Amino acid sequence: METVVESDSEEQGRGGETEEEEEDDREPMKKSVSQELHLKVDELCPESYRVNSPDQIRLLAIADNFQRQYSLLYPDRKPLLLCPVNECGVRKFVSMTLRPTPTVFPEIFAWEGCASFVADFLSLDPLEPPVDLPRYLFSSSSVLQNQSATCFESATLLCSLLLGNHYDAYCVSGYAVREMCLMDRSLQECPLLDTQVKGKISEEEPQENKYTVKPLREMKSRFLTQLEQKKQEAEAEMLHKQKLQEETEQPPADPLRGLRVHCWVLVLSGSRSVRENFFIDPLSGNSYPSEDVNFLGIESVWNNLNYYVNMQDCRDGCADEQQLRVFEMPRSWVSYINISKKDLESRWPGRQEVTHYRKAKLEKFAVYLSQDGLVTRLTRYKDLDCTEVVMVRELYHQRNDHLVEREINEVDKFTTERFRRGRPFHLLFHRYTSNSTDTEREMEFSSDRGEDLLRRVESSDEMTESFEGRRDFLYCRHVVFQPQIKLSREDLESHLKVREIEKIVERFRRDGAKPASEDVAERVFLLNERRIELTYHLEDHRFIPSKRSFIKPLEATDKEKAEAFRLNMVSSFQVDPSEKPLKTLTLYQMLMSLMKSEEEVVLQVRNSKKEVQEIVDCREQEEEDLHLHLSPWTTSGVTQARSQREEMERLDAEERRWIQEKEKDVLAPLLLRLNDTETLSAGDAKQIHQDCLSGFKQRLVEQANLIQERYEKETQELQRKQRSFQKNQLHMTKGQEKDYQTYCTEKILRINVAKKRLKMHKEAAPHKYKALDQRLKRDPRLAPHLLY
Amino acid sequence: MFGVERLFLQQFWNILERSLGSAGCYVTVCKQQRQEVRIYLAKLVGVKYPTRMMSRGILMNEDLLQRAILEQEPKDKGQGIANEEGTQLDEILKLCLEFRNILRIDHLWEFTSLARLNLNNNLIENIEGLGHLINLTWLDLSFNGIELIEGLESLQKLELLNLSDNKISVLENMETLERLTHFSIANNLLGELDIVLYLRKFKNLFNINLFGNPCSKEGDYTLFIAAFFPDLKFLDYTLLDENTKKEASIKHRYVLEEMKCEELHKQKAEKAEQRKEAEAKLHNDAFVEFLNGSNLFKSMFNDDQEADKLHRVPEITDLLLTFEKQMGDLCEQVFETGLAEHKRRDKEVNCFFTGQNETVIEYQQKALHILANFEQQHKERTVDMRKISDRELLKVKINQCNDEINQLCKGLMTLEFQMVSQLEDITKRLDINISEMVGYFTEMVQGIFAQCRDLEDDYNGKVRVSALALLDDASKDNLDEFLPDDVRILFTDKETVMDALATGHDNHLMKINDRETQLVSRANSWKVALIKGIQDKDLKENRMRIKDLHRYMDHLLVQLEEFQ
Repeated sequence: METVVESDSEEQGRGGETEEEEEDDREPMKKSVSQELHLKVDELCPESYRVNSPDQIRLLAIADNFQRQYSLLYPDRKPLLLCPVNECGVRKFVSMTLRPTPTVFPEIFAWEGCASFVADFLSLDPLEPPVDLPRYLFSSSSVLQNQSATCFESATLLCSLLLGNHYDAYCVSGYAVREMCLMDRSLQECPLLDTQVKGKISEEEPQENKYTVKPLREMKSRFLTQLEQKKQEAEAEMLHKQKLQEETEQPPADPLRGLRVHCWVLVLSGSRSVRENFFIDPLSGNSYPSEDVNFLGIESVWNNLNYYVNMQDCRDGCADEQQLRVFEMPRSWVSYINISKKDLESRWPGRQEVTHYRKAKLEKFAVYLSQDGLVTRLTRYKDLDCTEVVMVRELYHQRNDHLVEREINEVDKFTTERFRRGRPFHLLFHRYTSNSTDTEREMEFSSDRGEDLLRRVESSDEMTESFEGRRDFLYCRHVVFQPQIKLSREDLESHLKVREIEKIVERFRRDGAKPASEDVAERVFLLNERRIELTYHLEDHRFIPSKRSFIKPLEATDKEKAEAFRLNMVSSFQVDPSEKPLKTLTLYQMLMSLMKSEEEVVLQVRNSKKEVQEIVDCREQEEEDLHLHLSPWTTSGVTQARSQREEMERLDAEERRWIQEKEKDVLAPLLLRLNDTETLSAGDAKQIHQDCLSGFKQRLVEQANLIQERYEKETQELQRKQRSFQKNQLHMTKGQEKDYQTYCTEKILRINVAKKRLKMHKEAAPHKYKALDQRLKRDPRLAPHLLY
Repeated sequence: MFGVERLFLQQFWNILERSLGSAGCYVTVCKQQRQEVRIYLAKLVGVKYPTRMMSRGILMNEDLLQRAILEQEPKDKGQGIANEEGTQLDEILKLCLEFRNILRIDHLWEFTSLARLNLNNNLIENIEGLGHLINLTWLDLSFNGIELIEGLESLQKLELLNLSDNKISVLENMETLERLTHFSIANNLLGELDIVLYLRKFKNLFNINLFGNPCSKEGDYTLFIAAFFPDLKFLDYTLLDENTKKEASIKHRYVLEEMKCEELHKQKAEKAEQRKEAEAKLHNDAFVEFLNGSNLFKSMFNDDQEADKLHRVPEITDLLLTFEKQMGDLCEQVFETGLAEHKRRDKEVNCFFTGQNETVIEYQQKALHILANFEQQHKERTVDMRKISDRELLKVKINQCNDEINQLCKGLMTLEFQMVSQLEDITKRLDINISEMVGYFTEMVQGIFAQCRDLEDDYNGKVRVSALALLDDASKDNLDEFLPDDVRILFTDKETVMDALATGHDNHLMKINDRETQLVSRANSWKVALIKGIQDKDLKENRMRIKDLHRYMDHLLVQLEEFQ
């Protein structure tokens, strides 16, 4: 019986093939792929792929029997997906195609990770026609190899992974909407778009204080408010209309709605702290509640143990009925599903993916795929046809300049960059239009920076810096530069460096240690008017702060003496009449210290300007000199690191070899003179031998001469000195005599050294000569010629 | 700047001296050399060094002080101004009187703002005449002949005290110098290390200099100091590092632990005392002081001899006991209510003050906004006006400015009145709420006190009954034998007993009534005072603000007049 059934199944397999051939023109693609697979798979696949075991054959028989009864009982309903053909052309029962596989990677331990991996890793192979069940269901292992799958194969893989991770998961065969079946997300809003940080949940509102005063009733014209209201209503209506219009832009309804076959995964509650049943769409990796409108109907549900058919009217919900429980389901025929670390990292087929959303395009790249570390690029468009770009947002990973996000707004031309902590200047945020220094620009710094600078906002004529936690309680410094006069280019360049400052406003927080009337709240330096104005903090229960305004006395010039300080240079308003007015000396000292502060502040402003330039330069430099930090925990990182190391090793070895060769070859310069170095004639060899020896000899002689020369020179010098000393000995001071003596000892030492070296050289030279001769005679290139 | 150099030299000198001392040749060699170095240093510092042998000491007088002040005045343009204005002695912050052979500290009482005083290198023998210098933070008396520490009691702000190179042998009379951070007593005559422990009471001490004392010759002197002054950073200009401190704490751990224990006990006792005080204050604020327990009851039966005798009768004792318990319960009730109500009132008042504060701040912001706007425009106008030469036009402009100023005045006034009326509103609201609370409280308390009175009546009735029975027994000579004699005697006289009972009853009722009235009237007067205080303060502030505004107007107008 066994053989019969087996041959039967083979026949069926062949039948499948023939059928397929008949449908050749309808799906040539699928066919060629599967044929190719047949060839390959036949040799490579394990036996279980190619043959059915007795148990499996029995199961197939039961399934066929059931199918016959089912179609007899429910002639209106479509046939069920029970025993599709696998990649080897053998019929397999769907439950056995599920292969529960535990995973080792923590990333895909939970269902979210599994689903997004399956969705990312496999590209969709749409069903053709979309209303029919597929004839084929490939094993998960080959699906992983090809990285392309139908929704049934995706669901099978996902379900296998989930079962392996102890979820109560099922494959669901049914009907879904077009967008889901074809994974068409062009009508959805991009999920990344609403990741904009929502304001933190407002902190618990302080309890309503019954003693807070009610805001005064404002006197308003009722007529005006009505007008306003009307206007607002009109605007709202406009908006509404626009929205309607946009909605009508949606494509017409799908004619195949309710007929499109789809397969997805059902996860039941109860295991792994799943609270409620939900669906996972294997194509997008998203989860849906089990009553989601996108899923239109269910035909059947199965896991690795059982198969259930929906006996309800298929438009209703999702109650299942147990159908088969005849015997233990045989083991899965699919071999172990192997997901490598590399698969996890490369993620998408071709290591990148493009998804179109409504008015947006999302591109994703595997880590280290692009040279600049780009991992995600989101492009937003103004219109539905995606022609006019509004904004591009790019996310980066592992860049050495710590850039993590860059957003280019195409409308107002602003570029916004965000950085991780720990980069030069502690820059965290940078918003600018262009790289020249004179544009609008905003920078934020991390608190690691010592100077407590938080933010610096620049526009062409102004600069505002915000501080936090400073000891002098300064929190804001606003600088106004003199409006730039249009000048010729050269002037402009020189001008850019030092813009004249017109006004500096500094604001301070209240310093609790000082009385309010001595605690400056605002300090204004009007550099043009030569004035400094102080406003003090408000005292309790007062409305008017104390003020003081100074006029700086003129400095001394060539012609005039410095202006003396006079009382009328200060005007004070002290709000508390009981306080004694300050003494002239105190005022004078105050002015002096203010003038000093002014200088310092101006310097700080200049430094800030300089720093902006430096940061901009630094950013430019970084963009040019960009590379990625390699994480050794990723496979691509490892390979890259290894190749780098190998490259370095190779270079190193090459260099060493080169150095070695260079050291060894005494003949190289002589050989160079000859054209053909490969073959040496006997004459040439002898000639070279002779030349080499004579050359060496000459060098030895030269060396000896050099030493001799040195020796003679030193001796002569010494003699000359001695002579002059003898001549002038009588007139010499003690110091000179001492100098002379040290000079002599030094010279004598040198002479002795030279003498010794000469002697050594003379002794060594013949040996060296002989040694060279020997070496040449042993040289593989010369030896054969010299012997004869 | 000069002072800093001098300080540096002084420290340098101290270090030099210490190193000489530690080298062991201090006594024999140094006297002469020290003198030399001092003369040299004095030359460096620019002071003529007085050799003691030659010149005699001088007395401090106004002349000397005047000269010292002149010397330290700024040498730049400021001097001219200072000269013109004249210096007030009570405004001088710093005075340097070193190397002057001064014999006695004197004539310093006018320098009340003085913060720094250098009197080092003189011939002073007693610390005196410093009592008025309450703002002093820095006092240098080194290189004098002082033997006793005294006269520093009023210098509570003192942070640095230098008494090096004197003849001091005891540390004393410094209890009030709580802010002391730098204390230098090098080269004195401190004999024992235990003397130094006196300094433990200064929690802020940062640096101590002790070298050159007999006690600092002891072997483990550094460790000793490090152990007993764990917060000290520097000893003899040397950093006390962690290792030293650790070693020290290990070495002296037993003594230290004992001391710590003692200190802990003291602290606990202090805390308990404080807590008690706070509690008493709380009870007082809640108007229910001494109402917990049987205080009221006891006060009712104070100084009543007849009653005392009566109470020794067993039946009456029982009655008394139940009466005391019931009274105690009622008083406790009053007490609890009082505390709870106090909490409620407190919360209400706090709530009011936060609300009031918020309102004021809000209006301050508004006012500042108006002012800033005005000033911006005003400045522009004045700049414009400076450019105008035409008199007529200027006049027009000035008038315009005047108008604007009036406008500002009007705006701020409006704001002021809005605020005042709103503050009045919430004050009224507070008045109503607090009155309600106080009313509720007093009613409740009155109810309880009424119960007390009932109890008293009840008790009195019962006592009367049993007294009558006893009297009856007494008349029949049937009294219990165990009764004490004086009670027996008492019961022979019916009238005395009845009188005693009647007066006792009256007294008791009066005590209860008194307590009740006291509580109610205090609560009511507190309420009135609270509201009155708030209203007065508001009024005062209102007046102040209006005055401010007028003064500001005047200020602006005066400025404007300069243009004419």
